Amino acid sequence: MSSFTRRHLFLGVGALGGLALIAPLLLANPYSSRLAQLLFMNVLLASAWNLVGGFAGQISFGNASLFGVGAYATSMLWLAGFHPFLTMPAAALLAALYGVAWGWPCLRLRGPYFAIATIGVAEATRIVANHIEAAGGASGLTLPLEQDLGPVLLYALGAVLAVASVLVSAAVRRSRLGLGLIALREDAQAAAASGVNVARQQVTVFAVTAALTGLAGGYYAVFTLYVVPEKVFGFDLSISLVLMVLVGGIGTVMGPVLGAGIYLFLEQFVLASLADIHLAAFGALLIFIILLEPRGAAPRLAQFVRLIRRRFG
Amino acid sequence: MSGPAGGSALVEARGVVKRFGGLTAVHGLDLTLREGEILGLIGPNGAGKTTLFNLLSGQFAPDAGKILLEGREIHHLPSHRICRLGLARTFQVPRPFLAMTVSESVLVGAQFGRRVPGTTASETADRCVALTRLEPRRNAPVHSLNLAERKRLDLARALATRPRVLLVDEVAAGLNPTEVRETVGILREVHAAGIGIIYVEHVMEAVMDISHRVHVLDHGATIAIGTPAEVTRDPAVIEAYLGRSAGS
Repeated sequence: MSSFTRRHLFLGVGALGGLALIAPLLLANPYSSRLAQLLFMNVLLASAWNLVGGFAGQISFGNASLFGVGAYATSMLWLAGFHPFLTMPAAALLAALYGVAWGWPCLRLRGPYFAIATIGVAEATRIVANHIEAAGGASGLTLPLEQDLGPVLLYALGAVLAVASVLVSAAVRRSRLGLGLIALREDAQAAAASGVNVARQQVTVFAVTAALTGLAGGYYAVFTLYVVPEKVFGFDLSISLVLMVLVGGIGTVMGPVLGAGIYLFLEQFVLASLADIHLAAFGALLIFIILLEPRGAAPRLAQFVRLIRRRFG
Repeated sequence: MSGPAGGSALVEARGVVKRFGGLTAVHGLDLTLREGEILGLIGPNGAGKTTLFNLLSGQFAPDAGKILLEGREIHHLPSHRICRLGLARTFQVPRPFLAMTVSESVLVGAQFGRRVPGTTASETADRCVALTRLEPRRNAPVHSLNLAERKRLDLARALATRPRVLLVDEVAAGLNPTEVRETVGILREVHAAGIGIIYVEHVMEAVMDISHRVHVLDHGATIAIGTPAEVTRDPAVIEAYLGRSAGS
């Protein structure tokens, strides 16, 4: 891809190098390992969501349906004897197919109508998944504990997936596709009058969103070793992605990364004590953020970095 | 200004009808834009000018009738296909992509519009930015543009799609006389580049100045077609604009 520059490759390799350097720190105990895995998964999910939610402006509350498909694809193939790494492409592909299947009709809707449709699709998917006995029904699937990949491999897999999702996001942002998406987000009718095939652009980017979200589901399955419809198809998951991206900075490349980190930090250290009402507490926080900093943390941080550079650079 | 008589038809509408519920906005309209022509399209408010533009550019499908672009039926095609076949438009109220810079906005047209071999999208975008005198503002965020600049940006974005036909909707409205002259100058350059123009305008000195022919609509139907001098003397046109005189 012409928009994928040498600089991106350099930054990607640099990010992976950095993550390798701090790996011993994060792999020190099972809890910190798990935090790293969750962070990688959140980065992947938030970057994926932002492609369609941030660039195309189509807010999805239904990405759990794609995550769940990926989680189940990996689980079932693993149980059928495939190596977990080999199940990842299948998780991506099946989630992409499912995403295109429902995204194609739903993306004809815009704004709140699209958002409502995604809730319907995801909830229907969850209910159906609860009744598929071949996939364990409501009690879900337990994966072979004795085949656990171990913290080092899981860290490496997560790091590669997370960095790749950010690079995909950067590449889309700079591509013809990204230009068309921002145009249709700003004014779909004017974009169409300028030659942008609004329907095709949206479905294309949604396929990428779905594939990455499916990968996140597959990754989740291999590090938790347990998938159950109420969790992997859950509405909580869909909502949390929207929160992450809004907090971090919607429509930016680094916003979802920041938001994924902020969300994890709050979830683990601040809101854990609030247990069941932590989403409500997060919602209140979100209202604050939207009132005070509607573009999220990323633009403010970029401003801060520029200020530091000017003073010391 | 003398018209290029007898050029072949670039755009042809035949018996086009558009209804909105019980209201018929366009009544079986026939309209022709010839090769190399600037066709003025005038009429009182509500005459159906903007509706006709929406029909020609594919925002609406007609309820009856045909629309042809260079002899090819386009009335069943979506907007983006019509744009790629060579018909572009501006909007009465400019519709900028507010989150972009000027050059990015114009690049949208160049990247997604009609493909012309031998030119890159960025070259096309640069030419259109220069043609519309937006060069000094090329890296400005679109939301910082004033009305006159936004109108020229709409024009630049449409031109970047490399149209054969340009529909211009009230590009001079709300501008001061200097800006109107500048805009008319840009349209002359567009015409000189071989692009046919249908020009909707309420600013009469602008539309009468550059149109070869003027097509006058009222209540969705044609009331006069002719040179600017002819239509301004036409009793039906005078009545549509000024009303019937009290004695008659």
